[in-house]
Amino acid sequence: MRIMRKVNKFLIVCISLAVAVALFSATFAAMGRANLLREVGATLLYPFQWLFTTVGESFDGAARYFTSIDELIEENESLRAENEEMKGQLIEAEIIAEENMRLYGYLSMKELFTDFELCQATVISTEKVQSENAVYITLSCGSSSGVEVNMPVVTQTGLVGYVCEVSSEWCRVKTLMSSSCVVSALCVTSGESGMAVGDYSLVDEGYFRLTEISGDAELEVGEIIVTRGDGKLYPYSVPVGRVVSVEKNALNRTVEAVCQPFVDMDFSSDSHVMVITGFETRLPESETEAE
Amino acid sequence: MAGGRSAFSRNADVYAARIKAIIFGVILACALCAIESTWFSSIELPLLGYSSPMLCLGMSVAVGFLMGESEGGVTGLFSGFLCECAEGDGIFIFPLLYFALGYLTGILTDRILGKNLASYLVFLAVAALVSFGADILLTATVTGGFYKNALLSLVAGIVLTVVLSIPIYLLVRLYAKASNKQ
Repeated sequence: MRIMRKVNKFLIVCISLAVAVALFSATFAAMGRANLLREVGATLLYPFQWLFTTVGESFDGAARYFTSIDELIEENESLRAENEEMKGQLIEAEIIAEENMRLYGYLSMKELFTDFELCQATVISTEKVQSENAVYITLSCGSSSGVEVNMPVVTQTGLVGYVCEVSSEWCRVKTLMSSSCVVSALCVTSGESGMAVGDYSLVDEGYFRLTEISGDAELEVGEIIVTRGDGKLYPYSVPVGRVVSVEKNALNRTVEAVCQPFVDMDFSSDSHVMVITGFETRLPESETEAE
Repeated sequence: MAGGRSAFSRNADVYAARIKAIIFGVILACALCAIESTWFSSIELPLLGYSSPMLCLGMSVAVGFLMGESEGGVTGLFSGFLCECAEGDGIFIFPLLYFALGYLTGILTDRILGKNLASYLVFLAVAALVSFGADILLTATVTGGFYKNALLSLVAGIVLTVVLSIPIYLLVRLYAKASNKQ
């Protein structure tokens, strides 16, 4: 009885309120607005939920730091080892990329000269022999790779010289800068022929000389010189160099030109060359027609 | 007039105390509901599996237990509404249920057991049993869901509610003592 007396107006109001909320929610649900009341409460709760979620994540992160320190150290070591391995792989990839670029250059040469058979080599050393007025380079391939004496040596940019001495694993190349290296050359624009020959006095400047050009030739500075290909030592149309200056020889009434080779003969930036182990002799179209 | 306080002043004190109580109740209910739906949304107990505590029920029972049936009932009504909003199924039966449990706790406190922590925990365990039982029944009948292992979830929920509600009881008791002194 005493308990029943407690059932007062307040209790009735509260029960009515609770029932009303339940009825409202049921009515809204029937109207298709089931979440209306929930949205009201959720809006009130949102700041608290955000606060506790943020605090919880912070504590979780801090706790994980202290509880999993051994795991982190182990992970760090494994990552460090992986990093070293990746560095090695990166260096390898860079080397491969560089080689790829170089070979891509040779590929364009191979597309232009389809008859060329090439053998890749690295320049081991360069040597200037004053007594012979010659500049030699030594390559890392020899007869075991099919290299023979008198084979021309090129890079993707132009002619280097020819093989003058061969061993099984190395060969020696006499470069274009040597006075005894004579190349039958052709001026592309003017069509004049001449002999590209090394001049030891021009070696330090990195130039060679183009001689035996007819006296009435109209040679211009900047003209491109290629191999003539009639001596059977060098193939036709390999780029040799560019005319730097032109002068007339008053004694024999010929024109001479100082030229700069396309290939950097120091081989300081790129030490890779190709030996042309085989090619078909081709002549300029005009000469072919004449024949 | 000179010696005592006026009726207006006394009424103002009463209203101020009620407003403080309302603010305290709203903030605590929101905080507990947020904790319930974020930190303790799923706790694994050994052998019993996963469940979540009903912290707002713990608060309603604590308020009813320490402050009286009216306060317990209102707290239950409000906190039940919040819980339903946070993670309920939209039926809004929990406001009524929490109200009833908070109110009954207030009425039965002095008659059955004394006002101590052990009595509170007994009240709370019974209230949690009723609430979880109602939740499982509602889930099975109205919303069409099911509990993978209803009995174990029920026990786990009661254990979690009882254990995690002890700080809530101490907090409410602290507030009740402070407000009684004033």
